[in-house]
Amino acid sequence: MRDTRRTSKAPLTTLTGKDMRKAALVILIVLVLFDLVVKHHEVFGIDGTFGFVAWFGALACFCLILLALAVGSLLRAPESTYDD
Amino acid sequence: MNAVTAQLPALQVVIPLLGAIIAAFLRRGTLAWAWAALITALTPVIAFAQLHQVWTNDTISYRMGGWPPPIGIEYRVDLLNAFVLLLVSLVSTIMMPYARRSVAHEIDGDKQAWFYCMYLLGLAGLLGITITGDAFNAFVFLEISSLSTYVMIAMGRDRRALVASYQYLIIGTIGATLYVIGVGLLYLVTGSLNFADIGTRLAEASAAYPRPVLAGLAFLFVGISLKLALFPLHVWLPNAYAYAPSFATAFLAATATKVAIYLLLRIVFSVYGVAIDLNTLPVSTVLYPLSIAAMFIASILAVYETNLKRMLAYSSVAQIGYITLGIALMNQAGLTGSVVHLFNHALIKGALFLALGAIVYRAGTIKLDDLGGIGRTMPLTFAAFVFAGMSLMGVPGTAGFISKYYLIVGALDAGLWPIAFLIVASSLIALVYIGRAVEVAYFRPIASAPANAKDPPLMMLVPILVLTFASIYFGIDTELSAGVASRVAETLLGGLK
Amino acid sequence: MTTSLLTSPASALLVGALALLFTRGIAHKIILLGFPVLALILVFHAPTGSVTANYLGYALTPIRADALALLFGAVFALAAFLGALFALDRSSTLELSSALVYAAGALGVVFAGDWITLFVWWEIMAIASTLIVVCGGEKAYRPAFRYALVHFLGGVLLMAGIAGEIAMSGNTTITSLKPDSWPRWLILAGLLVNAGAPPFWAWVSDAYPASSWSGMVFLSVFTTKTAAYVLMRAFPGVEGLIWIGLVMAVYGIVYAALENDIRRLLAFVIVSQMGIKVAGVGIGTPLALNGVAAHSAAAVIYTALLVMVAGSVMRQTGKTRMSDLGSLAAAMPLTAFACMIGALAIAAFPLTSGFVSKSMIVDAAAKQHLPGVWIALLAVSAGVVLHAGLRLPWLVFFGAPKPRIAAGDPPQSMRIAMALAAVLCMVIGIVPDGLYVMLPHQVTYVPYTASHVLVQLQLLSFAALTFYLMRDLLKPQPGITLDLDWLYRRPGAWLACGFDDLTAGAWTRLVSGINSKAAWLHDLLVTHHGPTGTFGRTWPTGTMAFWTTFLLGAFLLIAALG
Repeated sequence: MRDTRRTSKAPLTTLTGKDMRKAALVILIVLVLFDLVVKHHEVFGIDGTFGFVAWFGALACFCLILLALAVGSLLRAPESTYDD
Repeated sequence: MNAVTAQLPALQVVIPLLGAIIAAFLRRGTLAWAWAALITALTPVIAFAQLHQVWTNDTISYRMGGWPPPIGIEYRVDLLNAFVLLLVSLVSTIMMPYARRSVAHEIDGDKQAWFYCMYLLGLAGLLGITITGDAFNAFVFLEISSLSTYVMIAMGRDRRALVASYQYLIIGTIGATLYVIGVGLLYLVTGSLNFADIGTRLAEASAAYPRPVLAGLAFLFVGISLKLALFPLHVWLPNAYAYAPSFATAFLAATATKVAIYLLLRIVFSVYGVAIDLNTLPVSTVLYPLSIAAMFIASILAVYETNLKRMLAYSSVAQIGYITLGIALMNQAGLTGSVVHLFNHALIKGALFLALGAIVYRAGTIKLDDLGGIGRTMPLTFAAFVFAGMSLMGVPGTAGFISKYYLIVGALDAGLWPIAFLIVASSLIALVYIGRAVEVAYFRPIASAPANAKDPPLMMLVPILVLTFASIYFGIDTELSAGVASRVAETLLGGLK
Repeated sequence: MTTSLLTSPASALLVGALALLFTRGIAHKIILLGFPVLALILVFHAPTGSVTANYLGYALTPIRADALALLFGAVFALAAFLGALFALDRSSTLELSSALVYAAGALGVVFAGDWITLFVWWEIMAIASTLIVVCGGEKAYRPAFRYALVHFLGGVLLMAGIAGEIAMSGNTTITSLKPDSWPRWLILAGLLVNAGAPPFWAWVSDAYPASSWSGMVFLSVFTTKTAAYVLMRAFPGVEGLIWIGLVMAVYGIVYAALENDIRRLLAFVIVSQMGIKVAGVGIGTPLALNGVAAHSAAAVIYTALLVMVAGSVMRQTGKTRMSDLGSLAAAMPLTAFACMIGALAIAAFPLTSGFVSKSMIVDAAAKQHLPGVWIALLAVSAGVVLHAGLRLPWLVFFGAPKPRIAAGDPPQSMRIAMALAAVLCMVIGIVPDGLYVMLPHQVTYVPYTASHVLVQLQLLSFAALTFYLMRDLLKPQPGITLDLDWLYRRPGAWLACGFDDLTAGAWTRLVSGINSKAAWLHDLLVTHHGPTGTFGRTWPTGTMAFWTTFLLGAFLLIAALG
């Protein structure tokens, strides 16, 4: 998990990138494991399943990035496009 | 005092008429200006007194020389022409302080007194057309105002002013001729020249001689349409407005076409309308397509025009289209819109043309391409232009909106919603041409001509600002404009057969 | 009645705007800060119920102070204050004065109880906001012009709609409408132009980045949010709005993910956030509308905060492209901290204002059993990491070390403004009840359940994981992304040129055609036509005579036939 938001308050130099990545991984796993404890209010069936929001969040973000890349490859233009 | 009050209708015309003659003898420009300003300032006082009288009491009927109508000439003031009289005289008065510098700048010293003489003659002619109840007398005043207008246009600095004046002279003469033929036909079938009297006799005459009565209407209609620059009879107007001296342009734009429209209203509603069912006459049939064509074609021409005066002139043709559209609708709201736009457009175009005159005075050009950044060097003048321009487009809260509002309501009342849509759509074109001027004035780098320009002297600036303020103010307080216009429309429609 | 009009918050701000023009120095600053505060006080002292007046025979309601109006009024006045504080040492009097007029317009719209009053304020907003864009300097002139054109178009649509609606129903009051007649469609279209809906959404990213470092704060607050407000009042539950809103939300994310300029990125973010609100209006249940109201209130503050951060960066470094920025956290610690709070709020992280507001809209979709909408809103919520939620703060303040930029935190007034906004984002998030009691509908809503918090944390952290893994693909690249404004900026220009030539050509041909016909008729009809040389050459006179004859003939013909 990208954790710059929280770690940045501490001086960046005391933690190595490797430490940070390890800590983030632990947090991600713990967050998913919480699904075993917390009861979700199901509405559509799928939303109560184990780890649904986790994989959906990752997938949604992945799809949006793909869409952005597709749009970018089609419509990116130099900044001078509209200069007269 | 009562003796004076009784003579007000005559004084309304006689004062500027005699003033014109005296102005011709005052050889110095400034003196002539002061005289003309004084004379002009008297006219709205009289007009206001008359409007007050008509509003509270009833129609004023004045017998010229004591001869009773229909033998003698009758001056007849009802709400409609009292309103137009006040409009013409008041706008002229507001403009007069502006005239001195502008006229001195654009016309040679020895000719200035003649200019003021012609101006007063023109004013007398316009007031005369409006106040008289006699068809032939109206023709005489039409000629007086036209002839003086030709001279005023020809006094423009540009050599093309001569051609423009000549062209207008020919067209104007054709128009006057057609008008007098129409009057002649009516006289033949009714034996009267008095508008009201013709009206009462026309029903009978129409039964006996339907064709001449219709032909008379055709001649009157086309003749007056030439004077009011109804599309496609407008071709004289852009050149005349563009090359006339700035003050003359503003004066003519604010008053001359309005008086012609008044005459059309008078003929259609007070002469023909009281005798014959208007639905059987082709007035609306002819006016609808021409009005809509004017609203669009003239507006588009304005978009492509690079000379600002010509741009506004085409815009005037388009705005006249709105006024005639209201006449064509022939219902309460439409006619109110027509009359109120007559009033509002006079204020708006007066302000716009005066602002252009100030630009000519300071920057020496009105070519759009040479005026880059003028909005920053002449801030107050161009701010006035923008506000009056917004009123022209019909931005809500401005006078122009009130006009369009009544016209749209009129169109919807008549069940013609496509016309309501066309009114809105054509207003968008006004946004384009005013927007183009705004773009050049504010968003372009300052060009060489406006670089040393600044706002004009106070004497010129105040009339511009007063008219601009009025063209906004009458969008908020609609008592004088829409209130009177609505009663006028009521009276005109109430008299219809 | 007159007193209550004069003491309305909008009138107060207009007075303030006027006073700004004539003052300098300390008085100028006191007026700039004092009048928004006065407006805020007046919002809470607004006369309950309605104030009515009469114009052109229509009953107007210039002031209608109900719960929804009070909420938006308070938020707008607060935002005006924050913006004014942030802009305290901005030297352009025109911009500051316009900003107060703009805020007055927004407050006027909020309290307007009828369409006519609303429209007047609506146009005041359009004019004032155009002036603010203009104050961005020479490079802002063209975007400002395009901005003005789009907004006048929107205004005309709205005006036509209002006129038609009044003509058809005779009712001027702003009430909930079903779009079942053309005037109502026009009103909806006019509102959507301001909301940043397709096809005119490009005005946001075109004009806003062109404004000054202070101007964009005001711009980001009022226009789009007033549109959301009026949509809530007039078109709740119109299903089409859901889809329009979702398209806006996705568009904003995709374009922001590609964007290099921080201020244009935020403009896309504004559209994206507006999309969520528009979709919420489309759902239209009391919970959804409460969500839209709360989300608007929260978004005003956090968007303003992010725009202030971007403005500070722009002002302090003179750069706005992310490809030129990076690792600014050390140089501008307070700005970086403010940016993080703003990012957390926009990402709806628990304990921020975004969390307590956006979840209402998402939950409303679930409660209405709209699975597609719910999934889409969830995906859009995950997508914030692609822009202001993570990408922007990371690339500007952290990330790969860049050549050190000599800059510090901005001046005190700007720092205080950012700090206040950041505190508000947190306070609303921690104690949401203060916001909830102001919402228009009576709905009990508990944001802090274990499930809610967990869902949001999982969603954001895994979205962030994906972004982290794919970060190299979304590196800031110089350039722009073509948008729908290409249609009127490129071919529009070609078309205009072509049309110009075309019409000029057609006109010449038409004129010469008429000319020859007229000359022919002239020769034919008029035997005594004078010296041929002069007369023949002044063709328009001939044309005129031709038309005169034609019209006379036509008139007689119609009369004879009729």
